Amino acid sequence: MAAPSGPRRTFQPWLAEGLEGAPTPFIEFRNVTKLYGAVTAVDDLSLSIYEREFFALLGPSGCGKTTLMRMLAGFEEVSEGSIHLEGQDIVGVPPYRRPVNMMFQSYALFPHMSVAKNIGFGLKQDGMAKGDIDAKVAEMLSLVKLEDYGNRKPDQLSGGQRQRVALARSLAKQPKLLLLDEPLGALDRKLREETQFELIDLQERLGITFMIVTHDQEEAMTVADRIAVMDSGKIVQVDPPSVIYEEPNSRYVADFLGDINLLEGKVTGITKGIATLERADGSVVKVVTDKTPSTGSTAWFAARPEKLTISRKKTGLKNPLAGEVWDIAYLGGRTLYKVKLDGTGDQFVRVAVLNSHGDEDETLTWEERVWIGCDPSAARLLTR
Amino acid sequence: MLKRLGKSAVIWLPYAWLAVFFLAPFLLVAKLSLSAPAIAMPPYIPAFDFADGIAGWWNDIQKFSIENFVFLTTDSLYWKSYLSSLQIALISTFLTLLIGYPLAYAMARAPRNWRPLLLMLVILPFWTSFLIRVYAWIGILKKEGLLNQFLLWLGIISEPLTIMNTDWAVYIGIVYSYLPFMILPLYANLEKQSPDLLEAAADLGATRVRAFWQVTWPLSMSGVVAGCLLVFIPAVGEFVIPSLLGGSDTLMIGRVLYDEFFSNRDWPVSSAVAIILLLILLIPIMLFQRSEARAREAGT
Repeated sequence: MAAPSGPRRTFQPWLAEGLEGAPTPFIEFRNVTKLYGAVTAVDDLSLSIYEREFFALLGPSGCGKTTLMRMLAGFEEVSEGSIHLEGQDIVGVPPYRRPVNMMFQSYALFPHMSVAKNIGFGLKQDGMAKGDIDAKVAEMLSLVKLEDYGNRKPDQLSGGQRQRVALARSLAKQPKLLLLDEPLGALDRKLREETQFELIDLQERLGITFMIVTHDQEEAMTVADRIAVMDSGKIVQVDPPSVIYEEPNSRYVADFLGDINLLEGKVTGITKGIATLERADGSVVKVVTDKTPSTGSTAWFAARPEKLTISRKKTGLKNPLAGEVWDIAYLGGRTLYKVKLDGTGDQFVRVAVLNSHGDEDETLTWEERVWIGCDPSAARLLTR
Repeated sequence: MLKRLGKSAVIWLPYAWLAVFFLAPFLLVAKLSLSAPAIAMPPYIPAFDFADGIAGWWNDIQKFSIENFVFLTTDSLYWKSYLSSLQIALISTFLTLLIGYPLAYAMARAPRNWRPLLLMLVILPFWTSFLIRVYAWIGILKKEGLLNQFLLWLGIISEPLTIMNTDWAVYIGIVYSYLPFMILPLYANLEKQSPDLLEAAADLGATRVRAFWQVTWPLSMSGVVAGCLLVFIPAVGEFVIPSLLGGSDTLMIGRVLYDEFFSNRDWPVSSAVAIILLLILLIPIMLFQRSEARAREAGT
């Protein structure tokens, strides 16, 4: 769409939450509950989103993320609690009076109207003069690089072009908040990745708060300043992508974002910030943590595949665990080894090895005996 | 070889069907309209006889004349009937649309599991004879009928209304009889419309009313056109309803046609009346086909 406007700024208004002089949240969900009959779609949820933030709601289908977004747009009413936009309670305000626009997953372009009419639709509803509408439509068309397509009908456009029209239409009214419901779901992979960066750039330039709903963790990590991971109507964790990935607060989050190896064990003690876990087969793993689980409680040693090392020799490995190569997936840039650990139960771990050397002799093969190692500071201790 | 035969049969079968059941009767009527009435059996000349051979046919064809069509222009009864038929059909089509659209809209917006039942209710009247249903309206509309009794009982009127044997009764009859033909295409169209579109309209600042007129209504145009033509075309030539419910002054071309055929036994003139009616109806039918083609092109 436009030339990148430089690296992203440091932007962390949420860090001041609860402190004095903290910025007022732009959107605030206060103890919001949404019931459909006996089904609880959103469960006593509170959340603050800040102005100019690119916020992602991430979760599997049915986790309530779409309901949350539709409540912001005004298509669903809350059952309990309240939603505040710039400090104003917007519960009960009809969708056509909210300074919020939405880009639909289906795009929902009006098939009987030209691209220009589609983009100008919202402006026309506001009673804007025709000349002004035309000028604004032209501006939006150039923003999404569709200058020559104003007279086309939606069905004469490609999927990617339709997506741009939908985006232009939802931005035409300069909303304070743009909601994006799985906006790139219908695009093929390459186009999707391109568009993700364009979205970031657009959001930076327009200074509009974006809220995206997606089930695609990569998409959320690419575009968002912060991600809220949802599960059954509740928010499990809200943090910037790197924190969500590196410091997941639960097995659910760790598993939903990226790949994770989890080893279950009983806490046998914590000394100097290092917890010791005893696994069912008696082997012991150590992990650096600031958590203080009680001795004897169940906890999990969690490590991303790229934090593990795999070797034929035990020497020099921390937290060494013996196993056998079960499966090998060559992924170009890296190779993923699936290793079956010795001991009771089918405990598998996945180890990612960067293919930076190209020395084929070193390559491990199927059913080879190996040792897995992991630095205690590279792993995380999860207690739920 | 067989396969090719089968393929061409697929193409020719519908044409053969049209030729036998549409073209042949039409040609017979067209031929009749060019003949002259006669006190004979059949009551017209010339009567073609296969035994006469080509020469005899040529002889017969030379006897054709457009006299019947000229006759239609000399008597004001005919063009008045045509105009009155068109007017009655137009007004009833409009009334049917006015009633049918909200019904179809409500059906399309009803909970999904209700829709088959609602559709069933629309189609249900077809299970009873059309003639009997029109007869039933006599019982409702006549002076001492159900409607008047009901209104008198409610105290809305102090003396019975005269509806039976007026144009009003004809309108009621046509609207009632043809309502399903309006509802079904409208329902099919409205049900297909994505609810996302209305949400998008609301999201962009359109109230429900504006969203309807700017999105739902224009998108339902093909359904509106289809429904209107399905009502208008048969309504123009309607015979049963004006005969049973209409007054003696309700002029409709269907009745004229019937009278010419059975009372006057003037088959040629009534055939001419039918041919003209067909030509008049060709205009809306062509319009209909054009709108259908456009709808197909638009992919809706």
